[in-house]
Formats: sequence, structure tokens, C-alpha cells
Amino acid sequence: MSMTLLAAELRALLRGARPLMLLMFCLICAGSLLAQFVSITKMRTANAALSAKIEGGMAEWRHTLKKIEEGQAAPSPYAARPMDVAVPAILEPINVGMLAAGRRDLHPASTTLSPWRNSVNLFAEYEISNPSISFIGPFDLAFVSIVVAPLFLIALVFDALAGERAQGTLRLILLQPVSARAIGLVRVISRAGIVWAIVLVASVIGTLVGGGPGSAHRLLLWCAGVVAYGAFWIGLCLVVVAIARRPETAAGALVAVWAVVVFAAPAILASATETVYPPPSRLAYLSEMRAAQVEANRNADQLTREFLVDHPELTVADENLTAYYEQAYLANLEVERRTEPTLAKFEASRAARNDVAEKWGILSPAILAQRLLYLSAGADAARQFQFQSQARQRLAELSALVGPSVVARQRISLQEINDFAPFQFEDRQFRDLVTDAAPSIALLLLYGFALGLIGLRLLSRHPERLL
Amino acid sequence: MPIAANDLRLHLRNRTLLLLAVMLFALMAGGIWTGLERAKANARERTAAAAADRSTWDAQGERNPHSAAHFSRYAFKSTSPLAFFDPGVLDHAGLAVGMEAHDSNPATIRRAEEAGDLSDLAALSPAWILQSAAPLALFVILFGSIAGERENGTLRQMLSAGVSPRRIRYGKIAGGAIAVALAISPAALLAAAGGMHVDAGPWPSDAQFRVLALVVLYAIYFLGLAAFALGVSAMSVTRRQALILLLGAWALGVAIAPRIAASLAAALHPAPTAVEFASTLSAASGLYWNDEEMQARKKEELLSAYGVTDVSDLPFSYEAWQLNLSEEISHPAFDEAYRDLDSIFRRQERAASLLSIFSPTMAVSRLSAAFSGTDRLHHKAFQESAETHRRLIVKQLNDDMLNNAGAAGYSYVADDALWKSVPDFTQASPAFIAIINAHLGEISALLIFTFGAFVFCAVAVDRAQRLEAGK
Repeated sequence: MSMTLLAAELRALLRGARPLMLLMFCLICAGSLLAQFVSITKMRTANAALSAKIEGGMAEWRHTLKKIEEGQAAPSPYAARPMDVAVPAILEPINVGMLAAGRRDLHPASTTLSPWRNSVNLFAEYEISNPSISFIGPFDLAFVSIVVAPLFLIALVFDALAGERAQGTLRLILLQPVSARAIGLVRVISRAGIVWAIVLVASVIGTLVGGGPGSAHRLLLWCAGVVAYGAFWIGLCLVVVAIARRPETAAGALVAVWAVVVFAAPAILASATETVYPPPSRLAYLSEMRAAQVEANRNADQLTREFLVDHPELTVADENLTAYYEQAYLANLEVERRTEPTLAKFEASRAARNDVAEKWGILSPAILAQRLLYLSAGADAARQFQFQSQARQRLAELSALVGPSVVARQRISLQEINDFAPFQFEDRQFRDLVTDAAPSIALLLLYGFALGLIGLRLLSRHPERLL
Repeated sequence: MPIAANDLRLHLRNRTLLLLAVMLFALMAGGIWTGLERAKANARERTAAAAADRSTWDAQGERNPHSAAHFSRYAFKSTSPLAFFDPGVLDHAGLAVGMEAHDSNPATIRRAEEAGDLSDLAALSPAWILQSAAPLALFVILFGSIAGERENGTLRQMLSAGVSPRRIRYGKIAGGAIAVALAISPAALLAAAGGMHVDAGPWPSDAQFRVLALVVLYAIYFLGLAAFALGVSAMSVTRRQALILLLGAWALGVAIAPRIAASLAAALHPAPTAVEFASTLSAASGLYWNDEEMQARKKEELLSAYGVTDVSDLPFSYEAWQLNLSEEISHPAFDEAYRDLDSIFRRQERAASLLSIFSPTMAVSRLSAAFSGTDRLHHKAFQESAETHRRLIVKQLNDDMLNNAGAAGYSYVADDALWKSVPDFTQASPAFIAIINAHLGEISALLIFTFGAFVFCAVAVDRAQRLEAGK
């Protein structure tokens, strides 16, 4: 009987406005993928250009240093100085990144690791996007899955039983050897199945088209997130379909829940966490850097002496070279020393806000789904901060490498620079991602099953109560 | 009037109106609380940063003015107190500009970066509540207004009782408008009360016009939406159809269309990447220093103008003269780079505005941010003020070196007196009329939508009456 119902239901999906609706949904999915394809391609081109520019400059720098090491006279005292070493640090978008831009477009995806820079000004000149556009938020498959797909589901299922109830035809249908429970279940599952199947197909296509590094595991995690979120909506629809006696009541109730789950709850939670746990001031962080720079410049001689005391193996050469390099280097060391506590405060504040969001986020399935999808697609804020943190760490290593030569006014050896490994972003292990994602997936499935069971129980009531 | 009064009585009786008014009020209270806290914190942060910048700058000690010009000062963006109501693009635009020698830096430090993943879905602010939540409430209040009368057969009864179609039309509009006003007013009044308690720096001199414009803007928005909702209700044979159409329109217009429009606009008019733009600025910055031929030619011209054969014979510092010249040569190139970027951004916004005819929320969102002083136009004014101030500071420092360095050149050092004479940054804000001029597209789109909604409403009500009378 269920198969007959299912076949009838699938045939019904091809009638009326539904095919048009599904076509529109397919177009929205395709549009979101196209938008991200354009964005990712642009990002990859920019990253490649930056790498090429830095590596071109370094090739020239190495060539000059090689000649100097071979005994040729330096073209200028400023040529091939250790302070001018540069290394690209790039956060390449992964293949699943095609599915969610998330916070990716807001944060820097590349930078130049250079001893001229410090932790505060390491990421510069990346904030040029049009704020009128970026504040609206990205149009990606994550948005389609979380916000748009439930709406299409609502449009397809709101009259699953209520239409026939209101017209009085449900009584006639129930005279046949078929239960309301079977009708409701088949209708909701088949209609929701189509919507979520489109999202899953789009996810696979997007990942295949996305290219770049990444793994099938992340796509699996993404699909698990999509399915778990879908389970919540299916469960909710079953409850509403079982209760609502009129189609407008069903539509109104589902849209009201959608508005609360998707917009109101995240908005309230985001505002509340930001108000209760405000992030430290980045302006104060900048001021701290500038104060440290001024202090370092004023005490340059003392800082140099202290550095040399700490490095007794160094002998100062090239006395005629200006103090320009060592002052800048020592100022950056001072900046790092003074701003380290502020950087720690940023991390603590983020952790506090994340804790609150995780704790209270369970109230909104949309928040859980967003966390899951962003996590799988590498579009979450945490991954962007992880890149920044690793880039800062590598900068510290580069500075430590060139520091003694800079302060001693010597050139670094080519071998030392060649031995310095290029920056490689260490992404989270899949095991860690699963550990992070599992509670959200489990909770969404739990919501879905609990609501589904309630819905089925309500649909199993005596036909007179259902009518 | 009896029709409007009767409609209102029905709305008040079914308690939906009261429930929605309470929900909007509660949301608004939350939005105002967070808005006021944010505005206060932002103002405090800015004041502290500006004070720290002044004291750091003054405490440099003896230093070469050009070295100081590289360290330079920062311009920090001050925001209108109305940002508590509508933060607009504030979090997505930089808050500080480094006013450095040789470089015209874009604004840096965006608050949105520190916001978590949650803020991608929605951000609670009084403006967001009025733009997004209030229309949903409005649709829920009005969906059955005429469709219900049709479904119950009472519209036909009214017509057969001799009530003129015109009276029915205006009565329904008046009743609906009053009901909507009753639901939204408490929240709107709360927002106004919040404005009186905002503690976030001085109000702009044209604040009264801005506040008035916001009131008019939201009144037009709600009137247009109410007319649209009544039109849809009149077009629908049943309440069910009306509700579904209105919910669909809300979801599309408020939740989906803005993202699609923004994405489409960005794809149609691609902006340069950060790396490309940085390279354009770098080329502008190096126009003089990377062109040895130009340097030689300018030097020759200078020597011949002063009738000397060597730069050491000049009555001023040649190095400082070069610094000033290099800045002047770079200025038009910087202006062009930012003009080109602005032109792309404007095209993106215009493309997005075209869709505002179908989704008035987008037009209202941009206009609301503009009147609240938190749109891109205000950010651009900040960026331009910072660039003007940068040129002033750098020239002042170069001039000091020009007149006092003599043969010492880059070894010359100035002291606290020079640092203290460098003025603090002051920010210009666009005049009210400039805001109107810049947003004529959105204003037109909103008026077209509202006018279209009224025409649609009138046609739909007449049609419904004709159909009912013909039954």
C-alpha cells in the first residue's frame, strides 16, 4: 500500500505548480553554486598571484645573495638583507568550500610573512569588499539548505492533509483501506525527500566542480548535516500536518516556526552573546601596537644591547648600515611581547562566546545546522582564526630565524633560508571535525525523530479525532 | 468609517493583533538594549583609541619628521548615535585608517570579523525588526481582510446592502492601516524612546531631518506593504490562498531576494581582489620613486629654477622637496584608484537596487542605514576625510623637514613641538541633501513599489467586488 501511495504521490508532484516550484528550487541551488564558483575562482587567482609575486621577489633576493656568497660585491648595502625575506601564507579554499562561503570572505585568506610585520599588522589591505554587499551575507548552498529549503518544503507539505480535511474529502479517503498515518508519512517524506535530494545532488556537484584540496570525508559530514537538518523539518511537518485542520493554519504555523528557528533565535542569541561577552577592542589592540613601536624606537639602543647580551655568539658587522632594520625588527619584538596578553584575551573572548552559542544554540536547529555545514565546508570563523594563528606562529619562527642576523647587521646564509619550510596550513583532522559535529548531528536527528514520533502518534489517532 | 471601525473591532477581538504587538514590542526591547549597549561601547572604544593615538604620537621624542610620517597617525571612524537603531554596514566597513606617508590606505578593522558564525543568519537591531519582522506581522494581520469577507460571503452582502465599492475599498484600507499601526506603534515608539537615551557621542546637526526621514520612510514602507497585503487578500478567493501568497512574498522579498540580488550584483560588477587593489595603490605610491628618469628630469628643472648646480646649494632640503613632490604626483593616482573602486561599488548597489522594486525591504534597508549614518556613503566620507587629513599631516611633516633639515636631510630630527602641532582628525559627514541625491534610486524604487501596491490594491478590491456582485 505504501508503495502505491508513494507512486501516486510522486505522480502528484509532477502536477500543478509543484514542478515549477521544484525547478525554481533547482535554479536557486545552481545559482548559489555559481556564486561560490565565481568567488572561489577569484580567490584562487588572487592567492596564486600573491604567491607568484612573493616567490618572484624571493628568487631575485636569493640570486643576489648567492652572488654575494660567491664573493661578488653586493650591489648595495641594502641588497639581500634578512629583513626582506618573504614567505607566502595562503589558506586555499577546499573543494567543499564551494558549498558555503560562511565567514571565509570576511577574513584574510592570504598574507606575506615578513619580518617587517608583526602579529598586529600581519594581515593588511584585505578589507576592501563593498560593505553594502558583504553585510547582506553570502548566497551559498549553506544558506539555501538552512533558510530556503525549509520554505520550499513548507510550500509542498502544508496542505498534505489539511486541504482534504478542510474540503471534507479526508473522510472519503479514510474509508479506503489506508491509514491517515500512511498518507501523512508518505506525503511528507516524499515531498521532503525531493527537496533534500536536490540539495544533496547540488552538494555533490558543487564539490566535484569546486576542485582544490579537500576530502570526501568533509562532503560526507556535510551531507550528514543536511540530512539531520532535513530530519528536523520532516518531523516538524509531520506534527503540524497531524494537528492543523486548515491549510492556512499549517502554513502559518510552519512559517512562524521557520521565522523563529532561522532568524529570530540566531539574531537574539548573536546579539545577547555579543552584549554579554563583548570582544576586546581591536582599536585598543592597534593602539597597544603603536605605543610599543614608539617605546621601542625610543629605547632602540637599550633593546639592541639586551638582544646582543642574549645572543653572545653574535658579532656586529656592517657598522655603516643604518639602524633602520634592527630598529624595525626590535620594535616588532616589543610589539609581540606587549600585545601577547591582548591576543590571548581575543581568544578567550571568542571561546566564551562559542561556549554560550554552543550551549544555547541547541534551541535552534538552524544554528546547529549552520555550525555543521560551516564546519564541513571549512567556512567557520574558527578555521579562519586557526589560519591566522598558524600564520602568526610561522611569522614568529621566521623572525626568530632572521633576528640575530638583522641585529648583528649581517646577511643570513642562503642555506638557512632554503631550509625554512614554506607555510603549510594544518587543517583540523577529520576525527576532530567529527567529534565537533557529532553532538549537533545527534541532536538534530533526535529532534527529528522525537517530532516524527509525535507526528505519527497524532496521525494514528482515531479517524473521528483526526477529522 | 463604519467599515474601518468594524474591521478594527474584528482585529482586536481575535487577539492575533495583540499577540503580534506584544511579540514585536519584546523583540524591539531586546533590539534596543543591544543597540544602545553596542553604540555606547563603540563610542567609548573610539574615544579611547583617538586619545591613545594622540598621546602615542606626542610621545615619540626626537625623530626625523619623515620617519614620523611613516609611523603617522590613525583616523578612527566616529558613528552617528542613530547607529543604535540601524547599524547598517558599520560592522562590515573598516573603523580605522592609517594616515601614512606615501600610502593611501584603505580602512581597516571590521567588527564583523569578531562576530561569530551566528551573525550570518540575522542580526537583531531595531531597524531589522521593523524591516523584517514587522512586515510578517503585518501580513498575518491583513491576509484575511478581504479574502475572509469573500470566503464568508459578507462582501456580497455589503454590496447588496448598497455600500459603495469605493467606501468598501477605503474602509478596508483604513481599517487595515489602523490595525497595523496599532501592532507596530508600540515597538516604533519604544525605538524612539531608545533614541532619547543613546549615549554615543554628539548628534549630527541635521539629526532632526534624519529622524523625520526615518519616520517617513518606515511609514511609506508599511503603507505600501499594507496596500500590497490588501491587494493580495482581495485577489484571493480564500484566506488560505491569501496567507500562502503573502508568506511566500515575505520569504522571497525579505529573506531570499536580498542575498540573491547582492550576489548577482557582485557577479555582474566584479570588484578587484585585495591583492589587485593593493598592487594598484602600490603602483600609485611609487610613481615618482620607481621612475628614475622622472627623478632626474625634476631635479634638473629644480636646479635650473634656482640657478644652482648641486642640490646642496638649494635653500631647503632636497630630500624633503622630493618627498613632497612624490606625494603630489601620487595624489591623482590614489584618487583615481578609489574613484574606480567606488564606481564599481556604485554599479553593484545600483544593480541590487533594481530588484528593490520587487523587494522594497532592500530599498528600505539601504535608506534606513543612510539616514542613520551607517551606510557606505558615510563610510566613504570617512575614508575621504582621512585621506584629506593624511595629505595635510604628511605635508606639514615634510614642510618641517624642507625648511629645517638643511644638509642634515634624513638625519635631521624634530621634537615634541612639531608632533603637538599636528591637528587631530575630524570627520566630515555627508549633508542630508547629498544622502537624498545618492539614494534617488532606492527612493524611486520604494515609491514605485508603494504606488504600484496602491494601484494593485485598488484594482484587486474592485475586481473582487465585481466578481462578488456578479455571483
